[in-house]
Amino acid sequence: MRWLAGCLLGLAAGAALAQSTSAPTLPGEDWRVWALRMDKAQRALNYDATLVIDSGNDDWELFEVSQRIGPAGPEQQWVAQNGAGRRQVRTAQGISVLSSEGDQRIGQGPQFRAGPLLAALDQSYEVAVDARDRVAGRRAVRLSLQPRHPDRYGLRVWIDVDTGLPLRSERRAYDQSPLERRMVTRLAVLGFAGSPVPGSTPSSIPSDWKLPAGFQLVGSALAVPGLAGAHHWVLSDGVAWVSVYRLNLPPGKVIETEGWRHGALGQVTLRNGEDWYYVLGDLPQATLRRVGEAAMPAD
Amino acid sequence: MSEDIREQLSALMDGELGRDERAFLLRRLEHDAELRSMWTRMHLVRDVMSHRPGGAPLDLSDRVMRALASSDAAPTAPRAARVWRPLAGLALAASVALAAVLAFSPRMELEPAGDLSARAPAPRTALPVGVPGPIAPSLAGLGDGVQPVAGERSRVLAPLPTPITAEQMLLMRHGQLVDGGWWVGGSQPVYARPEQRMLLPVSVQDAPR
Repeated sequence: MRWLAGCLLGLAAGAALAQSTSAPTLPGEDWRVWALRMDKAQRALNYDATLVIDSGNDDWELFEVSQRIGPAGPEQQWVAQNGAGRRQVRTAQGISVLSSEGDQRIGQGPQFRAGPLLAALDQSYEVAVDARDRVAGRRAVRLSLQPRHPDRYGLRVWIDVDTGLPLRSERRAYDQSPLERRMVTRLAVLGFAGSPVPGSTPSSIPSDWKLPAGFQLVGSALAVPGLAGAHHWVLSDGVAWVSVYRLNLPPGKVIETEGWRHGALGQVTLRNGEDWYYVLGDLPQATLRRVGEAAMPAD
Repeated sequence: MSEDIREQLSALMDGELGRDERAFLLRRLEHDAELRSMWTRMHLVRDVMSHRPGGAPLDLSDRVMRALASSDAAPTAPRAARVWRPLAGLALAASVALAAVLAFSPRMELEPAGDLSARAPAPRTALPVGVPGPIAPSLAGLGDGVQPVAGERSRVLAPLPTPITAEQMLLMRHGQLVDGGWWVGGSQPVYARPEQRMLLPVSVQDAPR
């Protein structure tokens, strides 16, 4: 029977190899159609869902997520199901964080539609609809994005066939090591809003920044409430989203960390004279550093 | 139907929900027949308990719409005790842990935004469904250093009820970049649990002297 075990092992290895290399696009499946359906569902679908987020290192979280489409776009409530009693409500007016330690409320920051950026995903990623699956008891297609360069992460997202809503996502490093998984385990669809709310469309802002290929500067905020002198830039390649905050700290204050990573979200701190740069995004830290350095004025 | 939503409905009946929570819950009632049914039952129970004749109307859409229309004027009352009382033990443990972190990691607190909110017109909490246009005023015209930006829909500068750290503000803003998205990195509440702040050991500290 040893030969049979060897054959099975060989078959398994072959299957794994085939899966790790670029998967073929399913016949008749245009990834752009699914990307745009996903964008529409995010902005126009009313639903209740249970969402599990696995950020690696046995660190996972369970949320009840509800989305309702208001006059100004999607409004969401996230309720943490870990017993800590924390809830976040986002409406067009702002974000409320509710907990036993007290309620906090901040103004809404910049928000963007991912849709217009999705059309050019294949500049930076190999994109394919490569599998059919079931998630939360629903039919789904899998959209796979493998980065063309190791300066960013890959993404696989399972899209609900009936609604276009993402049901599951996996972020992987360029070498395929898993970084973060998110999955809907229960979905109650309450229907689409009459017409999708036209969200803010990201448009490339002209700049002489030397950004990694595929990235665009899509937003710029001259103020961050509560942080005097702060500036917020937003960059994206359609999958990765980066915030570059330039902070003018009060005398005697410093940012103590050089950087961290939690799941797919990373951070680096840079300094240029009196200015501090706090860079956040779902990218490798080396890429975050390049993006942050691009925001610094040239000498 | 989760216990949490029961608590929220109960708080709504008692006028103890905050502005954002109230607006969101009323939106849910518009779309969720099961929730409306529960809302009706809760009113019936309350009416029976208080010996009110008649009970609640079976069709509550008018009531919901009236509540939507009048939600601007509804009071914002403390509600933490109601919702989180059963979790007081956990919260206490979390607070102790957080206090330990803060004790060794002094953070720069955000400046209160009251000066800006004082200049901003009062935001509207809710509009009838289907009415286009911004709900809250944009920052245009607020002056000094505050300008509307590309992609920025609306913002409200309300005073913060409790201090919030610079790190939390930056994470929260980043986590909301993609409209309706939950699948991109960072798009989850950074306040999901107390340990999150320990996992992200970032703080703005006093420079060594």
